[in-house]
Amino acid sequence: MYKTFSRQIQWLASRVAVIYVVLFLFCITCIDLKTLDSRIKTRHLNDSIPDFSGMIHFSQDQDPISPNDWKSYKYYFGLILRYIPDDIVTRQLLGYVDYYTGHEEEAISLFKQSSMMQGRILFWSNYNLGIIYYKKGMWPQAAGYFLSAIRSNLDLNLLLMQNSLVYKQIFANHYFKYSINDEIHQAQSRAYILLLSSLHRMHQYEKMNLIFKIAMDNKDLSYKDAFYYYGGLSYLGMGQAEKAFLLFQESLNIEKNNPDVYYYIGNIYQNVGELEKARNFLQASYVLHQKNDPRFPYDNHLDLRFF
Amino acid sequence: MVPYICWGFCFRHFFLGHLPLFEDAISYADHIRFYTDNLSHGVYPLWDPTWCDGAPNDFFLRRIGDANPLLFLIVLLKWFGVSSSTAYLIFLGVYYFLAGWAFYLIARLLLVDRFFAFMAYVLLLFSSWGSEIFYNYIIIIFLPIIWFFYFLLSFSRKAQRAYFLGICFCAGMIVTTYIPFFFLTIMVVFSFLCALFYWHELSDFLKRSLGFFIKNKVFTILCICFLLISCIPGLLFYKESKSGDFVLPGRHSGADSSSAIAVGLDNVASGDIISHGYFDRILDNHTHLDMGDIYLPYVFFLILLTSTFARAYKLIFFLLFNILAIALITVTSAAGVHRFLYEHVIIFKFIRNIYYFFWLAILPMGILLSVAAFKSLLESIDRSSKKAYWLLYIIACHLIFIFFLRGHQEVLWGAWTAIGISLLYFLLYFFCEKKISYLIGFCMIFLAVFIQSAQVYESLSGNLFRVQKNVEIREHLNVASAPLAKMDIYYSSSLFAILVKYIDPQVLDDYRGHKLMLYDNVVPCEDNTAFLKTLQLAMANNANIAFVPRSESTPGNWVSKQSASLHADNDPITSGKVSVVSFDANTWVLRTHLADNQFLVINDNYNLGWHAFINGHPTRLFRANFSFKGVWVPAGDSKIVLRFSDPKEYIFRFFLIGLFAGTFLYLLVLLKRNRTSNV
Repeated sequence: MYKTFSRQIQWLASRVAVIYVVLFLFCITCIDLKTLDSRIKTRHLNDSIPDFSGMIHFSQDQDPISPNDWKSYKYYFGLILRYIPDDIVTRQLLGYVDYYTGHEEEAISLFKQSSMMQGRILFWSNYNLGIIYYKKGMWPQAAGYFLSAIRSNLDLNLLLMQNSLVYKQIFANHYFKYSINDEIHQAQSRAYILLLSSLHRMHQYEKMNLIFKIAMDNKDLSYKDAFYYYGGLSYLGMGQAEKAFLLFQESLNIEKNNPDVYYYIGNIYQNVGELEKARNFLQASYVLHQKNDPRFPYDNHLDLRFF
Repeated sequence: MVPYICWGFCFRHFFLGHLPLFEDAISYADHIRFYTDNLSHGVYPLWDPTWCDGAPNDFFLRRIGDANPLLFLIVLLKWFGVSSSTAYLIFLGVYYFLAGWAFYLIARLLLVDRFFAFMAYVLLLFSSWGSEIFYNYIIIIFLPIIWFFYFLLSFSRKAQRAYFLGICFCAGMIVTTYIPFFFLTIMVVFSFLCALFYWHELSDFLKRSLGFFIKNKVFTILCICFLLISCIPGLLFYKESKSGDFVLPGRHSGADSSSAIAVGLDNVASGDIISHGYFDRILDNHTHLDMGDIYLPYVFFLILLTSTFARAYKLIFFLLFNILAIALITVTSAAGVHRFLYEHVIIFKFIRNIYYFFWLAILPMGILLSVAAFKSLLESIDRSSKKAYWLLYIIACHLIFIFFLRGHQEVLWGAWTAIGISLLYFLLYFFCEKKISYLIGFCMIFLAVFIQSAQVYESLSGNLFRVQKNVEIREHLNVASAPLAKMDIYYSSSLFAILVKYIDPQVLDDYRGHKLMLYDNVVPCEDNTAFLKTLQLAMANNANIAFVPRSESTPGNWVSKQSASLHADNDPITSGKVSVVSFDANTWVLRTHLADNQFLVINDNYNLGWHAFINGHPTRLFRANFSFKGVWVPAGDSKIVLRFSDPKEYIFRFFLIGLFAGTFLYLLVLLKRNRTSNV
């Protein structure tokens, strides 16, 4: 028995299989496998860094990106998540890419996974989720995410972006000539507008009015004309045409090319019997509508953003 | 030849010039082209005026191995009217063929049978070693290394003059390059393990060698003299690297040696095997293959897998331990061996791209190991009385491999074909007559490797075409014309590197645009940063003042003319004061016609090796405007000659070329004689 066993061992020891055993022993004794693993990962990541100019242009001007470029972004972000699965910033970015490459479900899932960090709300994921639901006409969901977005701490979001290695690569791109502080505040203003628009579509005028007042108190927000306009709509919805009229006038003082303000003022004049004025305002509204100014209506800008 | 032609087909886009060279292969092509262009005009270029406004060329000559007689192939092709780029590509192709041939011969020596030697050759040929020749320069060192080992193995079996001369010639070719350290490392590991594994054979070998040396005393002494002479350029270059004449800022940072070619430890880690090889995707993702990535035909893995229970003999273990020893060095920071060697063995301070060990030793030895294991497998099958078990086992191995690959992404159809052909080969081996299976085996192994590789390299070319917008191969050297603002200095004269660091790029670019300048005023200066600010101002305003170092000049050399114009004459050729009679890499011949004596500045970097002559008489050459050359020219007509280095140097270099060419021819003659006598 012993002899047979010994012969079998001798037979095995003289086979090529021994080189695998030697290799295995070599790897576990002579090589620092942790260093090896981490360096291989770093190498993969470094070699996969895409040119972010396409993504920057697309975000700002919707310039088309080639399928290959989308593929390289998706591959890179996917690779980061393979190595660092809980990287929230990369999830947001991969969600952005997934959405524009036709993978809406995956995008929603990624945005949802990255909407909070240790109990703190993150801006971009909530903003993008709000946009996606708004586009789908799911107003309550959209309003919920926009509300989360405006409640988020922008300083924390800025800090996250500034400390993220991926964002640093994006900022280092030749074509990145933006102030991320200005951009995030501008996006926050848009979140307010789209929240007001969602509430308007749900006929929740009291809430709308409350949000309007909060927005007016926030000095950092732009698009005050839009807030006056939605404030006017909230009063109009609550049956307070005089207040609505005043706010529409305020909006008109800032921005004279919004056809919808003319329309609602015209309606108010019509309701109080001043038909001549009503006709003038409605006509002005009609003329401005013909111009197709891309800035209007205010809830027309429904692009996902990552900065 | 057929596999080689098929390999050429896989890389046809490179050979036809549709795809350019990449990375280091570009600069090597440029330097070889520069060298051969000059050589074909009878000029031995010790100075490169096109590199960062002039730099000693020895660094680049050492990189390419200037005494290499095979470089004459390029000269010859150009003489027949072939363009520079095509001639260089043909040279690369020939080099790879010769390397493959040597590998085949080594495999034949070790594995005896032609079939296994062919298999090893095909595996190496179609591995991504082939793409390396368009990506870096290691083929230049691989060829002499692999022929060296062929001659060494041949000499160990039969001590003959041809083999000994082959050993010396290859060693000579290796030491004329500045990177013989890869070879030295491989050789030391090989010798040490040889002593361990082949102790008895080694003592026989040494006795036989001694007998050969005693019998061929004069021949041996001549060969050793040849080797010693071959070492001279390398030693001179090492001395030069310590003189501070040139710098390699990127490479040298962090190095603890005074030699400019030494490499910092962190710099080495960025060139190790982990930073370059994708070993974790060696079995899949072949559609994403890029230049420099590692690819091995599946036949390699299949034969390793099927040979698991074949008998392992000494050669297999010998190769394995060679691979492991070298792998320990190439993983640098993932094992402590490299750090130890870096700190204690001087040659490791000069090795940067340490991953080359993979291509130079690990891969060829790995292929030999796998084929040796395969040979052992077939022998085991032949000896076994239970062939059916072996057959079942081999089928199981193929199924396991298929199952394993199914879990991987983007496996190409060529890969499945390779597995199919491999299985078919084994079936043939079991069920056909040996003679038939032996002959068909050649075709089948070749097809299994070729079909998969052709598809992989087609995919690689596709990827490169997508990435590479500009696919034109550079026909002209254009490094010097690169704007300084964008110039990342790899190698330059040390003074020029300081100028680039301290002078505004735009100002320096404008200044460099004028190759010759005439000044009326010459003032002394100190070499410090304050002076560089003054120099920048003078350059920006084209002031009529040239600067010479106070320590390198006397008051008699300084002149201040009150009546002189405010601006220097930065175009003396148009004004008719200076004309260029002739110009090559090492020489300027100028004619001047001046109303008054003036200081001529040649905006080509100064170096102690340059000498000036006016009307045939030696004259003082100054370092002017910090980094350039300047000379006082008398009024009237003068002939100015500037020459780099001295005639003895050129005579030695040409002698070395002649010596190598002669030795090479003699080696061919001896080999031919050997072959005839063997027949």
